[in-house]
Amino acid sequence: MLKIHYDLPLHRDSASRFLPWITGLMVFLGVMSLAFALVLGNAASSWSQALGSSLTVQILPLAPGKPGQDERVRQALDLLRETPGVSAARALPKSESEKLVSPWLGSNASLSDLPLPTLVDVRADGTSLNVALLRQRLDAEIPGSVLDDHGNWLGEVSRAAVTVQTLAFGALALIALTAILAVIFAVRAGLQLNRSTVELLHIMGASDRYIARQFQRSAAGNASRGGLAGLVLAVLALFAAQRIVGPQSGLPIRLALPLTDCLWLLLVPLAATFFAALTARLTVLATLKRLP
Amino acid sequence: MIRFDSVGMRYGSGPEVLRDITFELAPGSFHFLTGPSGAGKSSLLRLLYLAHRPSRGLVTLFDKDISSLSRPELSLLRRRIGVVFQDFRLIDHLSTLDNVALPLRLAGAREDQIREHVSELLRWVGLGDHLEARPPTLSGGQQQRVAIARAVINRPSLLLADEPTGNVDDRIGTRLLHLFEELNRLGTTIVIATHNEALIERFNHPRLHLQGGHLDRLPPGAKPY
Repeated sequence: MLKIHYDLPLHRDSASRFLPWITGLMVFLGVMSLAFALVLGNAASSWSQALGSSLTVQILPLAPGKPGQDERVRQALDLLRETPGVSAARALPKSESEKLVSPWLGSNASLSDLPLPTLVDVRADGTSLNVALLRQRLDAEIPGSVLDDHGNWLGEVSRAAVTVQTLAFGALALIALTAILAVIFAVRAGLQLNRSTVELLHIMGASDRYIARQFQRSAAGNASRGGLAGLVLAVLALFAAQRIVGPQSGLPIRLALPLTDCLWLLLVPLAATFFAALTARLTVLATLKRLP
Repeated sequence: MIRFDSVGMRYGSGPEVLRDITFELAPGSFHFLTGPSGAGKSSLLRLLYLAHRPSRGLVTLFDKDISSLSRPELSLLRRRIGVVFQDFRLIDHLSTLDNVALPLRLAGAREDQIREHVSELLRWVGLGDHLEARPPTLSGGQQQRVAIARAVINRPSLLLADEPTGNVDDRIGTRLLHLFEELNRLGTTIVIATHNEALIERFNHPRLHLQGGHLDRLPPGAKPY
């Protein structure tokens, strides 16, 4: 096995000893932020997919003397079923429509007296459905009908999801920045504590890269140890949260992440290790330039 | 090989500790560097081992103007210089063997060769039983021998020593001077800063004498005024 040789006692100084702790904490927070952003993105995408393929047609009851409600519903169903891009159309029975409004009006309300619109659930087949044309035809052929493609609601949900996701990624960036500042502080403290040895190596002909490599390896080792611990803790926390906010919770969100997203989470400690090493290297090289 | 031309040196914005130093050392020469305390011996050595830049004048080392060299070139030049510091400057957390091996590691030598050469040299300076000892557990004299072994392990082109016999008895001191002479015979240029007049008399070499920031060159056996 290749033995890493350290001329500088970096493993002994207090600045280096605290680095695994800070990296562990940062990786934990980073993984949680990223997982939150990914969960939210997946949820928004699945809501959008589910609602994007479904439309609702409301057929409002007309004044007495006009064509009967059942006849208009049948005409609407015929029109919808012959429209290209519509895979299914089903009129909701009155009992189902009443169930939908009962949370607002109460279960004791006499809903049968209310002029509730008939709702038609429409399933679109892919993207071939021309919603604007369908709306035009419904307006022309079935007066009192309203086509709702959930565009407004989807827009709101999408905007909210993007905002929260941006905040989560912003938090991730701040966490990364804090970790980088912590590494710079630790490396500078290490250089100060080992100043005489660094000067000695410099005088003996050690190149700046040779000295920087020692700090770089030490930072990478500390960051990988801390990062691994942070990742394990974050995964445990995510599992615990998944058990609490499972499908039985009734919340319209799933914490389980697909495999590709899990790989993104694994990248957090790897990125922490890479950036810790890079930051250490650049900090040392910049500081050594002050030596003759 | 080494040439100083009207060199001045100051620390920060302080007064000049060396003024108009001009001298030339031929390759393979042996000089003692003498002078009273505070005369600037250590400062001159710092210029020679490239730990400090002159505030004025021209320094030429190994026929290269050091002011025109890049950082990597300066690093390569420093590897050709062995230094014995007055305070030894050993690295406490490294073993005796690893301290002495440092110049070889910096030069990229193979680990098996390093161990063989370093062990042999440490045996020669009487530290064969202390290969794994840490410097704080060694006596002053032992630490000095480790420092000397580290300075000579890669057969430098220039060896600079600041009071190298200050902490050892006469017998070891003489033996170390013989080691320096042996290196000198192999082509190493030697400059030894010392106060030890007895040693200077015993080993007949010219001296560079510093006084008041100025340098005089004295032939073997001559004493400063």
